[in-house]
Amino acid sequence: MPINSRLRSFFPAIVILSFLSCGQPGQNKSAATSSDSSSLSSARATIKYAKGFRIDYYDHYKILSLLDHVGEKTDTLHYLLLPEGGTPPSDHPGLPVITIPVKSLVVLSSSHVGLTEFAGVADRITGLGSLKYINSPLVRQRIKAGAVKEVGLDNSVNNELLVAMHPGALLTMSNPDAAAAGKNKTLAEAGVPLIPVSEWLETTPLGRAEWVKLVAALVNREDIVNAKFDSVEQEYKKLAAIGAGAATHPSVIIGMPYKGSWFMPAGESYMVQLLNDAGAGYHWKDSKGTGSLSLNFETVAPEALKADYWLNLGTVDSKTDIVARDTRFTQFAPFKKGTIYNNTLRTNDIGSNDYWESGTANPQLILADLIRIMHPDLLPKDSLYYYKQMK
Amino acid sequence: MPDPTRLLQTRDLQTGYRSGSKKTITTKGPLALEVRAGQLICLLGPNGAGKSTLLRTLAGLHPPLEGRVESKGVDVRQLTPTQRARTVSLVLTERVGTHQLTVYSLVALGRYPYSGWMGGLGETDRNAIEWAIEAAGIQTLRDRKLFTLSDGESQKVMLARALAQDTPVLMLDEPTAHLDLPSRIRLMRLLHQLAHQTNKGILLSTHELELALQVADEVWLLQNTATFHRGAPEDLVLNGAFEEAFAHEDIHFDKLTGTFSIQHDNRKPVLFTGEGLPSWWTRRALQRNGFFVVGSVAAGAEPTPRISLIEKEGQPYWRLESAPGDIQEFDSIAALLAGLEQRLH
Amino acid sequence: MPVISSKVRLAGLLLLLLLAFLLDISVGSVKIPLGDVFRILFSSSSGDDTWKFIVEKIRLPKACTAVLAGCGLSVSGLQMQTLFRNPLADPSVLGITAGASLGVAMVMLAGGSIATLFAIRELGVSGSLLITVAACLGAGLIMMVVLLLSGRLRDNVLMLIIGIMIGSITTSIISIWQYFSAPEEVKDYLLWLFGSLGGVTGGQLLILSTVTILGLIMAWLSSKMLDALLLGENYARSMGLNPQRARLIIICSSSLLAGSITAFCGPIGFVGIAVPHITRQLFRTSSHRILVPACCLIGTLLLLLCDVLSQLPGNQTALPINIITALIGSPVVITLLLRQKNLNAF
Repeated sequence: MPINSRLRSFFPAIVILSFLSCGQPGQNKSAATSSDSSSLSSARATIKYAKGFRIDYYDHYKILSLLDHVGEKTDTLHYLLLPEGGTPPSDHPGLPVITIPVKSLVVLSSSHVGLTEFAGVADRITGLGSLKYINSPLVRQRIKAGAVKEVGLDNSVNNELLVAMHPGALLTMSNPDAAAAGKNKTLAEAGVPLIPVSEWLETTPLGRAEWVKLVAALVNREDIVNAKFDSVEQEYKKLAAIGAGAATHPSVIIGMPYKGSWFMPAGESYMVQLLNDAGAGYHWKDSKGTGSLSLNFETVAPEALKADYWLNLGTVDSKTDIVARDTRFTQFAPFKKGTIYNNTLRTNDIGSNDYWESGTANPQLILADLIRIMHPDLLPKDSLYYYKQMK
Repeated sequence: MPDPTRLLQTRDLQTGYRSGSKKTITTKGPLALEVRAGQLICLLGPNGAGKSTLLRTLAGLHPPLEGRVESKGVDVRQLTPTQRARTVSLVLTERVGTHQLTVYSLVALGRYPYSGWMGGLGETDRNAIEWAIEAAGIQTLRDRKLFTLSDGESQKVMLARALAQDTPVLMLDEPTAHLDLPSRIRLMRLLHQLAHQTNKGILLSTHELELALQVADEVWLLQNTATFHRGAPEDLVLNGAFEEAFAHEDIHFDKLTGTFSIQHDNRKPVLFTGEGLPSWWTRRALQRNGFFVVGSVAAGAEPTPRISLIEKEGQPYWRLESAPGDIQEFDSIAALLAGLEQRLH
Repeated sequence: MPVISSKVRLAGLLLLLLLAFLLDISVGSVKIPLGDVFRILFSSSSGDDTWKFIVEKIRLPKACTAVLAGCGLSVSGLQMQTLFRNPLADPSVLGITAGASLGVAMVMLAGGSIATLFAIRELGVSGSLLITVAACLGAGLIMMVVLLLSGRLRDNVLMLIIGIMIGSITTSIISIWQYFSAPEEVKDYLLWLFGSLGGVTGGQLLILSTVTILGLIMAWLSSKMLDALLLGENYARSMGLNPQRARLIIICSSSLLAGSITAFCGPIGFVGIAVPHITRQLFRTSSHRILVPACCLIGTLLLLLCDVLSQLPGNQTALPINIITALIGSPVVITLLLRQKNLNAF
């Protein structure tokens, strides 16, 4: 569905500005119109890639649906997004209400911080699951100023603290399981709406990124976010076309084994999508599954010994670190050729890696890096954003 | 020149144990005891009197509160564990855990103080083991597994192990505790034989008074913390030590037979005459049934039943005269007792 | 069952062991023909490089680790069962393996942010070695505590109870850390808990071999003491054994074996408790001079077979070794115990 025609004239300006702000996710300046007014903006989001949520727009309210695709069935969780002072519609009774625009957010995962920042509302974050891993300069500043509290992760989420903070919404990482939703009734009853944001279940990079539109719907910023996302989408597609046209498909291995188990992304996972779009070869690209394959060292070894590239190794910083994990890695082709690249370039002084924060909302940056690494001739010379060569 | 027959000797010994600053004395002493070669000594005394503590102190496993225990003039506490193991061997009450151990292997363990450092056995060792097995009379049990033996057999195996250890002194702590009567008798007899044949000094603590009286060369009677008698069993009977040690209102020590009998209350007098073996058993039966035998009755006393033992055609018969003129004859003690019962109630 | 001469039995088992070792090297996820395996092992001709890598760098070290772990854990279990005269004792009974877990958990869970790990890295120890060193330190710490207590206690049963309590406390501490950790950290720790024979290579394998052989020799040399302890401490003392010294040596040796294997391979269960029973049944002896090497034999055999099975030959994945040892081992022990006439015999 096309973007609202009223915004078409602003499109170039928005594109350029979005491009600039995309390059520095740390900045939170957004010159476009913001909609902090209590009425709904007329911009609407259309969901093209994400399969895990839907937003239905009505005159005076929105319905957010979270879909849990369990086998054949699909469980759905609905939320009613209602402006302050609005009356709940009669034809959607009994839905949990979220008052929009949400003025304060509690966010439990790094990727959700990234989504929030993309939407330009990182300053509304009042609570984080853990203060240990955070990259956004703005949020770090707010933490220092004492404006952001640590609420705990998963099982140790501090319900009391949450209730006292009374945020507009709590974004969690859990599955949109209807049963789990019942478990969190305490919070719901205390007026803390809990939204399970499961962007990590998406199997396409753009699908993952598109969850920014959910945040946008919560803060009435569809116009800005739609535009930004469109530019991300365009850039991504452009890069994917370049990758598809690559003459060679260098083979790739991912990750590191632990205690004899080596988890490789499965053929239907989003990581493999990225690899395909980057014109890479991957031995297990036809395997089934959207998560990881649990392989043993011996299965991976034949591929590793002759792979062209080795990516995403985890918390290692140099070849010395790699050897320290296991001396046998020195026999792998990427080690000998020096073609090991880890996604840890943007790791800050407290050891937090921005790949996991801003990377979710900016798949085009990841794709650009991958193409630069594997097909250096195909893209204009530029430095890598997330990736760093292991020396 | 130390007396070679004196294997263990104590000086001013006082036994007991300490826990923290508390001191519990089990034998005040001061005791001057000796274990001599070729002698079987029985340590008797009521439960909890401190027999085990005394035994362990003598074996050097437990420190005395006062005084010392010496072997060949040397304090046993100063000996190395191996030297001590070559001086005293033990047989304890505890039943050894069931194992895949064969009897032979268990007896072979007795050679621990002599075998090589990996447990290797030389010819001397093997001979010692063979001798021990024979001495304890367990040749038929050689290859049996420990867990298949009865209690009696098991104790004999533990004895054989101690014999294989080839020590001048052998100590046993209540070795007859779990055994049935025939096994108990056999074990005591065996120990008596061993003491005299092997010239070892054997010390055992036991409750078997009556058996002890028969086999012990010397008795140590631990009456209580302060009282300790020592001597030949017969001497201790005659000087009343036994009686004193086991004195109790309902227990009577019969000096003649060296046995204990149970006293009853409200005993009734009975006149009895008779001789020989049946007479002895008749007295016992009467005692068991609450009668005591008197020789004569004072004039003017209540009518007393009179029993006489007679012989007819080589068989004993009992004649009961419950009251003057009321005479019955019985051919068994049971019948006699029944008759008495009937007449008196 | 016919009486098989013990020499024949021994020879048969050694042959079986050799076969098991070869089997373990020959099967895996990648199909390598037996002929090629032999060629890689015994000749220096290169052939297929990938296969060479797999056989030499993956399968051979793993098989060697299985041999070491099989020997070490079973002998450690044997010592514990004899010292405490308890058929249910196993290497973990003194809390040593819990100590190793404590060390690992400290690094993985309570270690806090990556910054802390960066800091540790400055000391020069990193990666898998860090985990191993932490495990060794943890096991060593608990061993000190146990030895200290062993000097003061006169009774072995008390020792056993205290050992179990130490294990409990350690596990609780680890649970607390787990509760407050991020999912990835917990997952890593859980993976460690599953145990793994792979990944011990080069220098690490050398260290493990040295320590294990040391522990095994210590154990074998204390055979005489162990035999005496079968009769209980009272009898052992009367035979000239110094119970304090004996306990010290046995605990040292057992902890060395259990601690080091746990440090390198994670906790591997079941081998330590089952193999001594199996060995005692098969060899029908209580003499430790025979039992120690026999346990090595049976333990190695068992673990090699379990390793073969855990590889689910031909499959891409592998099951953790702990699962296999329990699944295979339990029925074996149950069968053996049921066939015995007297269930008390130990």
